[in-house]
Amino acid sequence: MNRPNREILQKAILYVLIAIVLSIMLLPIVWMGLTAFKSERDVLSIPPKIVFTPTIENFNYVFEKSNIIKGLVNSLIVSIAVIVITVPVGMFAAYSLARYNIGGGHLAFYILTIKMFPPIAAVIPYFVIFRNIGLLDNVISLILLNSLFNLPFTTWLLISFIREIPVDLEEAAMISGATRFEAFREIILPLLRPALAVTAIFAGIFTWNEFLFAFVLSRTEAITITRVMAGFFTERGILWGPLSSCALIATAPMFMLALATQKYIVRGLTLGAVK
Amino acid sequence: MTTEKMKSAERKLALLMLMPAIVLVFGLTLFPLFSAIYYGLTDLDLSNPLSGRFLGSFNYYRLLTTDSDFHQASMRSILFTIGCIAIQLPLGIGVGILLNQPLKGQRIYRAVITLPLVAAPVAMGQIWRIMYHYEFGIIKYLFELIFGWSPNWTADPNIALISIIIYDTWQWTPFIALIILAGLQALPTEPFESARVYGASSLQIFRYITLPMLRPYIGLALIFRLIDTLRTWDPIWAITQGGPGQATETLSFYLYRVGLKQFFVGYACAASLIFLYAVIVLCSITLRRLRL
Amino acid sequence: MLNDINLEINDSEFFCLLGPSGAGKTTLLRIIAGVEAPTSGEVYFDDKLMNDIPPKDRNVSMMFQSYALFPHMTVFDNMAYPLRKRKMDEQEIRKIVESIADTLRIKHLLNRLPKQLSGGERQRVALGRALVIKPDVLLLDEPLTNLDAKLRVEMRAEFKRLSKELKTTIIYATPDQAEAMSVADRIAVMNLGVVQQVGSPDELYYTPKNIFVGVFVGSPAMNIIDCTFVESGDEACLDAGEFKYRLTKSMAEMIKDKTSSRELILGIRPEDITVSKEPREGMLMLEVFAYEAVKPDAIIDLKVGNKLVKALAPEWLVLNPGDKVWCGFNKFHIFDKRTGEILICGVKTHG
Repeated sequence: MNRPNREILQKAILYVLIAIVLSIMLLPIVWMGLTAFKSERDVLSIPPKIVFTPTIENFNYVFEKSNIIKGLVNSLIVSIAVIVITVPVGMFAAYSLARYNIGGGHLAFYILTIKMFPPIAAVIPYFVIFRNIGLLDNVISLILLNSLFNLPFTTWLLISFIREIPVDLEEAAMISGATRFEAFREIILPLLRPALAVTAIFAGIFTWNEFLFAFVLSRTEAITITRVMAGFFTERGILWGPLSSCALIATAPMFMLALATQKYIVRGLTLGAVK
Repeated sequence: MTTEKMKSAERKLALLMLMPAIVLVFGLTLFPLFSAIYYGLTDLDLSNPLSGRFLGSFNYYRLLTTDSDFHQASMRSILFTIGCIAIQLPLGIGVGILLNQPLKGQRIYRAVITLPLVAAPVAMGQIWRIMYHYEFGIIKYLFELIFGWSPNWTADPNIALISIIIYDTWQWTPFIALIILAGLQALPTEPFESARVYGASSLQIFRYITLPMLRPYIGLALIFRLIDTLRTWDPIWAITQGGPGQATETLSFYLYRVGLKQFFVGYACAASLIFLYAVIVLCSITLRRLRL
Repeated sequence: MLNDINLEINDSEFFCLLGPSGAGKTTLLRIIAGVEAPTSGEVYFDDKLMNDIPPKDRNVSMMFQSYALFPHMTVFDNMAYPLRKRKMDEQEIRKIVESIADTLRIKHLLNRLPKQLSGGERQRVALGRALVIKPDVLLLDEPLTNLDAKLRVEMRAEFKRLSKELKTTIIYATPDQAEAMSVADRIAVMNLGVVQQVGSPDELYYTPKNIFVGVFVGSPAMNIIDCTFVESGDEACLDAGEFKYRLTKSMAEMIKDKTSSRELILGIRPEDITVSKEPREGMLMLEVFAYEAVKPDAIIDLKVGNKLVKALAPEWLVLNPGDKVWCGFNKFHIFDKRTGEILICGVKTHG
């Protein structure tokens, strides 16, 4: 009669553990949500308040005093542009590398090393270059840099997905009368659609969340949502309330995206691992 | 005589497909790389229009021998990386195993777990800064509640780096957990079943079967985290700005301060190249040891 | 992987590539199809050099072991694909696909997706896709391997029938010797990338060129008994430990002609051993080790020294382990142990 009790106890412990883990994961996010709606006094109150009267004064401040609309628009533009560039380029490169293994592993390795670059190391020479050609504070420079840094991951992810598709299919197509390219277009591509979606989501999220490039290379014209947050570190001190609302605005879209496409995201990571 | 023609037609297609990537990659990396190499050999200072004299290897000499800031920043980078990996890997494995249990609500757990990963580091970094605040921060409050005392998370030079490690753990443990979860689900069930039949305890199964079979996945997570922790910049800026003093100035932040705040671009480029080289070597070694 | 293959396959022939996994059958098929290029050598269809011609222009069809059905297309689209690639008129395509689907009894599945089909159904769709274009050469890579035993035997008959109807040359790869023997006009036995022997089923069975072919063809497999070629004066015999077999002078000469080795192999098929409960003169007494009551002929394991030899016995002869029986070798082959090559075929004896 001890066994069922033991099992129940074990299950209970597991649920408790999961609850703890989830709480920790959610705490900062929830805190962000709360702080965004606190008045300045409430934000600074000691001990920190959980119950308070919410206000939207922070949001008002953000929308009036900062460049947030432009930031959101720019972030969207850059993210979409990066997706449009990296996903097709990555797909072709991935197909080439997965099926033909050009250049041995060397080319693949070079692409991988980009991933290893600390972005800060790239930004410094780029800053000088862009400054000289007058591309500073221009979305194009952001699009270029983000594309460069996202390409390795995109390519690598797509290589894993392409390897999942048996070579038999393309060969059957070619024997049936298709050229290699037709086989790619009519067989591989349709099967790759979910993979392309996953890759696009990842590329989009990374670009949206990117800060360093935006911080260094943009001022007012090409400002992105992440950079807008930097504007709350003023001489008067840090404006915690508006900062939180801005953070909320910046992260909310990604949260919603993650919840909506959770299946895809997990699958993307999973597949990359099983490679 | 052989199918040379066929082979070369296929090769052409393969190369053609690879072209855009190559153009993009080489186009965007070669010029800056050479620029960085060039600048590294000068004393280029963006705040000084008269700078740009050729110095030869003077910068490198200084960096490698007398620049204690550089050395300390390197140490901090190493400490940060080791700290992060040492904590996140076991935690990630634990959470991964936890998620693999047959419990209700799997979808919700996984959805929630992905949230820290998709949140902009700079944004969440700011929030953590609020939470860490010595006066009104909730972390400090909770800590005091449990332990009766709380360190000054962001202003104490001894604790500051740890605070960032904690942040990084919060953000990236789910990543490791998800990879491990993928691995666990891909494992065959037979070894586990036969171990149970032979009466192995859960702990034994974990140590002798689960862990070894998870090696490739742990390796993958390790490589990813290794590369990423060395590059970490956003949270440092958001939480401590490299401070207090230079307590959280890892190499990434050092480069930022020297190159883009103080504008000693030439010097910073030299430092970047050393950094780059070290990262590539380190990663290659790790990759090789993991694959073989 | 493939080494020095020289094959000539006749028009409209049903030609089999027989061999275990890794023998190189699939590789050879792929080279003929054109998806893989040989390191050296030429492929000719009639007198046309095919080396530089891409698969789509070779007018071959191939059925893959994995079926390689396009998962995102319906059965109809899968089968119509080769025809669409040849820019045929849609009406024509529909007619052809439906007629072939009818012949293969999958007409009712035309609108389904591959994942909704059973293994046998998928196999027939793959076959259908290979047949729609009336190829010059039809390549089949282990088409029956993934089916259950009963279906396999059924489909074997189907293939035989189909091959009579179509007039195409068929090249069929399989590791199953019973399959090959039952359907093929001629067979190339392959092992480790080398063709061991080419011939009709009868030729392979009655006159194997080496030990591999002897053992691989025929079931239960040929027995292999080590023996030594011993000469004393005018007499020569094969000494197998448990028994000796006296050789005629001409046989001894033949052996000495072909090899200098003295280590030989006696190869005898189970069906060529007679087993009797009564002692007979000139026969060898052996002890029964095991008795498998298979129908129609039981398989008996006999102890020869410390090895086992299999023999067949009619069903009315029931034996138990430990029984003593008397055996005669009706026909056997002599091989060179070192090279595996045949020395003398089909030695007929009376015991």
